[in-house]
Amino acid sequence: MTQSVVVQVGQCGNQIGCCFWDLALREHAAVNQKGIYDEAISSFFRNVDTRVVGDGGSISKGKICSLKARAVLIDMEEGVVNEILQGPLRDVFDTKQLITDISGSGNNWAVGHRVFGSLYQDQILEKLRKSAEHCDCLQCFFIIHSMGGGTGSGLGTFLLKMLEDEFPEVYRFVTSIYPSGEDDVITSPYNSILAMKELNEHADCVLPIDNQSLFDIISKIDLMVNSGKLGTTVKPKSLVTSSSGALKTQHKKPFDAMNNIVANLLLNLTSSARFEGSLNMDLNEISMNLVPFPQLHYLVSSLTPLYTLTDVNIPPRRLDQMFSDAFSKDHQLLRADPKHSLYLACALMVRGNVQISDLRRNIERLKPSLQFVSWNQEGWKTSLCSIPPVGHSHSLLALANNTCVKPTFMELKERFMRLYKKKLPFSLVTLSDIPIPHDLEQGVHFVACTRHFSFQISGRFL
Amino acid sequence: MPREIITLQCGQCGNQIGVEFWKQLCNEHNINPEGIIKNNNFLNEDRKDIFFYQADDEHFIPRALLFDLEPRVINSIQTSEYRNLYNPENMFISKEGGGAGNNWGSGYSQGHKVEEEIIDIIDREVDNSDNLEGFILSHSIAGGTGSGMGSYLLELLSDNYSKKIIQTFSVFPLLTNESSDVVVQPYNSILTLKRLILNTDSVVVIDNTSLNRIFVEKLKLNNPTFQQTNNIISNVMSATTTTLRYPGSMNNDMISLISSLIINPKCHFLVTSYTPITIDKHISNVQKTTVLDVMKRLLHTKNIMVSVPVRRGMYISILNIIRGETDPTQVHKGLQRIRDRKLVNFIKWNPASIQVTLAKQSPHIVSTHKVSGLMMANHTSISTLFERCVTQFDRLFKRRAFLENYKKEPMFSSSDGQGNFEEMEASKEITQNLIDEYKSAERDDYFNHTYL
Repeated sequence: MTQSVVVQVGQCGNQIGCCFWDLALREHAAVNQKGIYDEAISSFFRNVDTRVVGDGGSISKGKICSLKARAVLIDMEEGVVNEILQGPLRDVFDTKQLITDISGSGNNWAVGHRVFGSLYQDQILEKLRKSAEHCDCLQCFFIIHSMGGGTGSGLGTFLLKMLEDEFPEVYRFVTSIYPSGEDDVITSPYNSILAMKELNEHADCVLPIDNQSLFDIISKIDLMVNSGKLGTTVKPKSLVTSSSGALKTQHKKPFDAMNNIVANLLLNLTSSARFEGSLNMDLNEISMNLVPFPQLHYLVSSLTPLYTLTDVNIPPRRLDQMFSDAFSKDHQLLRADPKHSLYLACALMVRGNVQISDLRRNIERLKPSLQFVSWNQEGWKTSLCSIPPVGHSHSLLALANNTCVKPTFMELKERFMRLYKKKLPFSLVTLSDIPIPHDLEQGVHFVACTRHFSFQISGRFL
Repeated sequence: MPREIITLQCGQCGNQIGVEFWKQLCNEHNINPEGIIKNNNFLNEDRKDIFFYQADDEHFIPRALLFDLEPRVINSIQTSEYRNLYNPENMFISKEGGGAGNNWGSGYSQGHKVEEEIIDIIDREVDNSDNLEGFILSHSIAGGTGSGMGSYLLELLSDNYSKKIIQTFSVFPLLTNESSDVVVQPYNSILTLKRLILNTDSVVVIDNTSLNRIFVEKLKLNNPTFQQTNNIISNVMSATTTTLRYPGSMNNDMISLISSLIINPKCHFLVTSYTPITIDKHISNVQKTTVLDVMKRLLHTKNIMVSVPVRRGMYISILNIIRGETDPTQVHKGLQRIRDRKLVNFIKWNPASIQVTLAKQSPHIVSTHKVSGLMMANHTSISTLFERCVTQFDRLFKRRAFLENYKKEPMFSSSDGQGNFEEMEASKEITQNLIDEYKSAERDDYFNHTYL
């Protein structure tokens, strides 16, 4: 069984990471009734005997003593990480896995990437090596960060190059939160474009997620619940949208529900690699089957269901509804329109009591409304995991490599160009002491790259 | 003189159908999940020793070798009801535990890395048998481990044990134009096909598409589980070995089964058909089961477990294994009827007729049907299956799509980083040659061309 290490960078990354560890613990608690440290848990947690002084002797089998997350937490300001360490999850993290600074990156990619990158390079490398040593067989790094800020985008992408050099065999899955149109950070287009260049070159697979889509999903659910339309069939406090039953105190932070969705995405992505099922899918199979050419590695994700139904005995029609939902725009985590673009490949990862024939029937049903590239008409990858997520009887995660990411990136490019043409806001940007114009030149180079990138998609496959 | 057979199961699919196969065999021979005979009233009318060997403490242990590159499937076997049945030394799980990731190259090279260990395991089992006849491998050809490591195993077996028969039960992927289970299945399939063509003596083709169709149409079950599908596959697998385990007057060993079916060593891909198909309590609407009915039903397109157009093309050879209460005169009458009605389209260059073997039913299995039958046939339209594989392969390969991960493996890597795909092209060549071979087998003047 393989292990994965989660690297959470920046405020956004750490908040999502915190939700992720909370949900992961709850999921394993629900599945693992006997409290034995098995291989499923070992993919994300270490079993440590805290009585042993020093590194904490790792125990590989037997009862669970104390679980430590395989995570590295990085942030250039202390607020978020300190809050985690004072919260209920403090025992899950090893204090030796944290890297913090005081001042923060000031929403500046260059500060995150260049200044803090060079300052903390050795420390970060050491922590990563330590985490890798604790694993028998490290397969994947999950990096969680946002694109619009300073630390997440700058330092997060600096990490990628380092990981590629140091651990070339290990996959790098990046969950990137893209800024929405009404983002309050002025420099977010610059930060995003500069980070995109790094993602293009050094990541194996990127799951772009959009704040706006997450917000839309949450508001839709609130509407459903509050309007009382669905009445008793909807359990409003499902694990997907809230942390009810979690260890956190109940005062809800605004981004809580949104972070929960992203955390669920990561759990479902790895479920088939951790748990058993009739058609298993490991993490290396994701990039094998969904990435036809190395640069085209952006996967649009959509997740269903988003709220629980009290009806346990779901008749097939409801099951089919789950598949239809996965291909509707409401359940996507990125604002894009896949139905009017070309699919390069699509993966359906199902959890729970669903049979292969259900999957195939639904693929046949939905196929006519989806357009695949001519050379990969039957580009589907399916997987079945028998363990359902907590609180649901089954769930579906759809990952699509679709050319609909092109308009999203074009929009980002537009925002970048609008600012750049007016040379805004140089005043903010020249505060640091590195030649910023050089980096922005690189950004323009990336703009050329995106043009080439989108040309690549359109020219090659239409 | 018992001719033992060793089974190897490779990858998730191979292990899952292998497990069902052994369950079926245990039921037929009245062995409980611990490996002990339930009651010893029945004398040794059956030849358990072909598939099982007896340990010192009365346990019957299957001659089975389980291989996988990630631990989950074998672990679930080790925690299931049948955990004490298998010999734990015969289970091989790769230390790295990462699986092959649907990458044929990765499966193959990981197999190569642990060559010594695998040879040890196989040798030990071979030494355990007095007069080994051959090997049976169960695997799928679309994934990573079953196809990649399976290919490596086939090459290993044919190099080291060239005198032994090698048969495989190969699960072919969904080959419709609508969907697939694995995106890179064309690459994995073509690479494995080369080994199936060159390194095996016979291949029983099992096809996911047709199994699904049989469930929906015959059993009226709209969502069969993998458990149920594997159950049917295990029925077929055990039926193919019935005459070996319950010896009658003919076809008592593998070589006689194969020699009656395979005329040209290249054309060794067999389709199967089984009737009546029952799954637990679901019984398909079969009322009358005389020998003639069973034989006619076996020829129906809908019962054949490979989705090829049997109406076009010709049968090269057919073998029917009939189990149950039958009368040899009935068989004769049935064959006569089939010949009169011209229900079967045979090739013209060989005197061909349906061969029928009557086999004894296991006394331990209560069957609701008087007669059941299995047909194993060599039919030329199986080339359409390979044609579909080649078409899908061409489409992807022309664009050089999804090849990045293959380049990382030693077989496909090159110094300039562009990748060396001669192996893929060679495999495709060989498959195309086979398709042409089957096509020319439909012609009357087949023997006038030089073959082999």
